[in-house]
Amino acid sequence: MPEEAQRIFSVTEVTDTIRNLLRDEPSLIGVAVRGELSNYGKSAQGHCYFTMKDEDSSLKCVLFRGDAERLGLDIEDGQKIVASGDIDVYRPSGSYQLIVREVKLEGVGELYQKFLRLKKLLETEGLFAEEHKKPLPEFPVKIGVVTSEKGAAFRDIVKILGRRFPLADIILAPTLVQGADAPGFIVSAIEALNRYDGIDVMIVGRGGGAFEDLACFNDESVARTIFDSHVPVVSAVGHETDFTIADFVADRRAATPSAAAELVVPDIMELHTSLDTDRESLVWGLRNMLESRRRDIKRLESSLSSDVVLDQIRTHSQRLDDRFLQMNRALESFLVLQREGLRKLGGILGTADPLATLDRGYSIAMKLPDKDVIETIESVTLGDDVLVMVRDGEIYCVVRNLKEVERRPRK
Amino acid sequence: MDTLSKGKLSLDEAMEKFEEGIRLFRLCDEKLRGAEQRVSVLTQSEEGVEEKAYHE
Repeated sequence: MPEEAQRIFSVTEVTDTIRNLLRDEPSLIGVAVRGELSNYGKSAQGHCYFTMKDEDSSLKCVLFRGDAERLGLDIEDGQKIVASGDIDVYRPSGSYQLIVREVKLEGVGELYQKFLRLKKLLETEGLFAEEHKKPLPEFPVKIGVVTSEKGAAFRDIVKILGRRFPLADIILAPTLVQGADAPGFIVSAIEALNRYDGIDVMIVGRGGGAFEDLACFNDESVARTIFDSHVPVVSAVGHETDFTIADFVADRRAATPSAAAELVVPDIMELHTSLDTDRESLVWGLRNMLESRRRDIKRLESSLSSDVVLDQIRTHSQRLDDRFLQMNRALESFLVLQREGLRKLGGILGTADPLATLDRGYSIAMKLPDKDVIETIESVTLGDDVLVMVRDGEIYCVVRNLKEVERRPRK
Repeated sequence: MDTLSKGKLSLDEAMEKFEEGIRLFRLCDEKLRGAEQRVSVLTQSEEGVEEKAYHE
């Protein structure tokens, strides 16, 4: 075979040909690949290298630093993923690889399943029940916040509370709000605020994130701690549409940390306004009352001089006259009766007069010298001087004999 | 006349209530005006929970 008949390529030329073939293949541009992650590693420059595998094949992948930072992945070997990007050839090693732009974790489906199972369990236990929801205080004095100290969520909360209700003190119990350790931190932060004296209400939350970033707010221990909290809890996990378990179990749910801050305090401007209104109505109330009293007095004054009152006075005085006459008549007839009674009594007394008996032929015997009336034979002894009174004079006698005589007893 | 004397009694009460109301108003107003936000952070240490002022 003559040498000049065959073109000899350089390694680079061949590699470039292959590279161009692969890069121009439409089905390999923006391809999405499902597989299990292995040999995951990060270079000093911040690029991520790994291999995707299934039962029969493997595919080298690279995720450049810029994309890696943008995605903020927390991934490890064995994770099932869907990686999207373009196939390219790495010339120094003559190997093709997937230049990854996007990564989706396949585990999210399982995570969501877990979320639904936990939600069902806690709901059955009654942790979401309305009767366990504690009312929020109207005017909180101390507000606890459970979130990251560095996060925008806390800055938003401080700003809004400061604007709406600067009377309230804010006590932050800082915590992680992402990653596997976050639930433990959140639990101890909520418990610390419950032990702290005088916390009226607390906000528990973080800014928005992907579903897997919010995993700590779907944690069972966090949910139970929120349920057990004596201090009312407002959840504020920054995502408008989806609910976390923390949202269901909290006493109130706010869509964002800012919304939570609005929820827990009244607006000081409105308080000023309503306070002014209260004072106004106080002043007006008193003024109206005085005015109505003044009208009462005027009405009473004028009614005193009116014919109605004169009429009433005349009626009453006439009735008084009637009563007076009736009483007079009653008194009169009483007196008549009395007088008759007296006359009768006089008659009775007249018959009782001892001297009157003398007129009727009786006599009275008296022992001398004291003129004691003699009623029985016991009153005198033989030889006593006795005076006997009769109608027209006195007879002086001496007792010569005493004899007891039985008489019928008088009625 | 009876209602008048009774009216006088509740007038005194009304004055008392009014003065009480004004006193409460002043109290609330002072509280609202004197408010200054305080922010602090709880920190866990060996000795337990500590509280320090928060600085952004």
